[in-house]
Amino acid sequence: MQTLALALLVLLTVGAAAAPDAAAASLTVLLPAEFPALDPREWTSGDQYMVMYHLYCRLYTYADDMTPVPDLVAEEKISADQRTWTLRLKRGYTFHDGTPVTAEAVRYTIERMQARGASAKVLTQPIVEVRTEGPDTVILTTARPYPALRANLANSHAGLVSPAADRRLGERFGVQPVSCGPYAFKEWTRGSRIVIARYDGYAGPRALYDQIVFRFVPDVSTRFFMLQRGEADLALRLGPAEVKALEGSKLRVHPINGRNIFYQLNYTKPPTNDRRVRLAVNHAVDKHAIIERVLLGAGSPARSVIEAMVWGHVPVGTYAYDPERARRLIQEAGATGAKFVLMSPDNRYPFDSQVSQAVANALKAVGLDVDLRVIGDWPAYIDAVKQREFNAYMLGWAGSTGDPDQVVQALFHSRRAGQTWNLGAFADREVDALIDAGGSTLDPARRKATYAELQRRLFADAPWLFMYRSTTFTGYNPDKVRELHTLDGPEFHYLFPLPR
Amino acid sequence: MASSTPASDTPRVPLARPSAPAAAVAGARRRRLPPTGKVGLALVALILLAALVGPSLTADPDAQNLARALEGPSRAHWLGTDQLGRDLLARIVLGARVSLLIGIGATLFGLLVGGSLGVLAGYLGRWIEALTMRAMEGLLVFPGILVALMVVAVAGPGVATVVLAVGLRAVPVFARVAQTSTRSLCQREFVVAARALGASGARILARHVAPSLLNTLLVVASLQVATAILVGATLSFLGVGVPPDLPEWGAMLNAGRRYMLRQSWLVIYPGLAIMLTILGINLLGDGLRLALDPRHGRGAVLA
Repeated sequence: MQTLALALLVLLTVGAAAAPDAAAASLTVLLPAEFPALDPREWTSGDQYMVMYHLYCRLYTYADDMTPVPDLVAEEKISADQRTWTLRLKRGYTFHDGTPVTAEAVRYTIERMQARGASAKVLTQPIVEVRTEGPDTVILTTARPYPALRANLANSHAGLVSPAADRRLGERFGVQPVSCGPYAFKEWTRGSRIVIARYDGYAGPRALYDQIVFRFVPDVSTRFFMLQRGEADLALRLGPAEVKALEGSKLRVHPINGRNIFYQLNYTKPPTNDRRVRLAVNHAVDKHAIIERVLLGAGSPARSVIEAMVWGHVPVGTYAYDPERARRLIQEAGATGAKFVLMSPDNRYPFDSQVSQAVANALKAVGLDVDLRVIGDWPAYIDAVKQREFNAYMLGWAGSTGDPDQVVQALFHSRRAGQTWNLGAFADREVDALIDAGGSTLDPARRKATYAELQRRLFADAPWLFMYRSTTFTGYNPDKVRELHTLDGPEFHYLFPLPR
Repeated sequence: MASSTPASDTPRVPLARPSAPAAAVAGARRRRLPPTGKVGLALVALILLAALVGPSLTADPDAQNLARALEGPSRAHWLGTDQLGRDLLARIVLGARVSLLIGIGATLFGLLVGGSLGVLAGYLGRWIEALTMRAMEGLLVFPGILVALMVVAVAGPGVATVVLAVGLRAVPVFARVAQTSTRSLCQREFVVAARALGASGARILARHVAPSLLNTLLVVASLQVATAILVGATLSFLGVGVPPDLPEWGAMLNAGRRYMLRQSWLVIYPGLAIMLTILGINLLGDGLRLALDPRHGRGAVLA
């Protein structure tokens, strides 16, 4: 009865707000977390990406399945040795300050990304030389054949920067960005909102709204109620409980299959240095029950180290819930009663510390002496994890470029053993060879086969306690949101038409 | 014990302790706790009982059963189960222990540190008083939760840190009360008389000033316990207090809030526990204040 009344109320408010002209004029989007800046060169942990994809044009962009497709690139030629990319730009694109988008601006942007201290450097690391040939041809030379180049240049971190504006604004560029996307930056009220307005000089498909207002609302319940009352048109990251409460209303829900959530296991600390124990912990945890009960169904079991939204994903498998077998494996390894340090963040990923409590309980049940350490403050958690006292620590990985190279380089290459994000110190020469091979061949079929082999090997050695891909939900008002493209990896949406 | 007390006490009382604790407590016994105070006493007694013997009567508060998670109240689980299938009643009952530990521990810390600083400042006067009290005012201008957050940020989360963080917040409160009371006590005849008789400073403080302060500080302390419990729960609710696996009411609210649209009991019962505890302590504290305040006679109970 109450739900019915609520639904009716929502219908009324939405109906009242959906006058056709108002719908086109302005759209209000609720983001959970603010961020220090909108500079493509800086990697921060807020929700800046959804704003950046509307502001920044790039050479490539992502289609709905996260494969990179040309955006500003009109023509692409790759040399015979596969190390030189000759890219001809589309004509007619201008930056929001009126200056033209030229090959020179592309060179400026890439060199800016490669500057010392820029955290986005990793995306363009293999590019050793950028040359221009006339106003609209840019020639990139890579140190090795580099298959992830398109995906990396489609990322918001490779957003093109107006050289004139950057020189003029200096340090302030990040808070007054000038690029060439369908929307231009208008204003930023710290702690409250960012407003972006349609850029009429945009040469691509025309933006649908006069302006988009991004408001920062950290609390999920507040986002839910604001959406329900019609104060917002789209709310990111609702939980399963809010989704249930929206059932029967006019508002729609779009799921985003987000991060791969797992516990990285420590290869240099007993008992997880023993493969039998690593297998045992995977068999000890009832992932289905955790997904159903703790996550209220908002997830699916992880099937590989490479997430499903990343190119080359192979659903290798899952470890069956079998506590008997887990107990036996732990006995065989002589690890019964062994101390097991399990570290978990709190309120970083949906239901994280609750899941960790369930996991701790499951590991206790198969004979490990679990020491659960929950640290709520994210930087403090990372600092503690870096001490490497853990046997297992929880981490979520989003495939934000849609290419597997960066994922496996960061998590499994022995070059990074003991450092972020291979803190479990996984090191295997054959795995290194597969990672290197996959990262330096442009042939998609060979590459796919390499990554398939890599995923099977990694799964078999159980470097993680595999958990699940968490699902988050976007609630929106279908009367106002007319086009919604979803990027599963970075967990957000485009609200503008994709390039032709 | 009871028989030896009068013998050792008699010679001293008429001489220098006109308002020493024995007299005050005797006076309190004569005065009656107002009815609201009795309600408070009953609530506090209930919570104390729950904290002391409750956990041995209820189910295992850490026993998980994912298959029975998020169930409503039933015969097996009177208040239902939480998101990990643990018995909510057992966790709330054990939570009383955690909350009281934080409330009483933090208040004792504030009472001992703040009380001593205040007495010393009030007795010694001059620059020591000025310095101490300015420092206390400095602490007091920060909102209590902010002081607590700073301590947690430096020392990291955990029960001991929460006790310290919340206790630090109470230090200036006790210091101010102790300092002003000490100053006025030092001008009273029995202290002047003791000083005239040649009593040392330490003796005056220990034998005459401190006992007379006790009533006042006890009333402040009883109300501070409630505040301390609330601040402790707030810290845990914010995720910077006790570890989330410990059954603390604020932490339970934090965990339950993600489920509250459908499983509202996950936040209602811990919330009620906090509310009833604080209500009980406040009613009792108020009652004590009326009953112990020498300016209120029997009639004041009605006021």
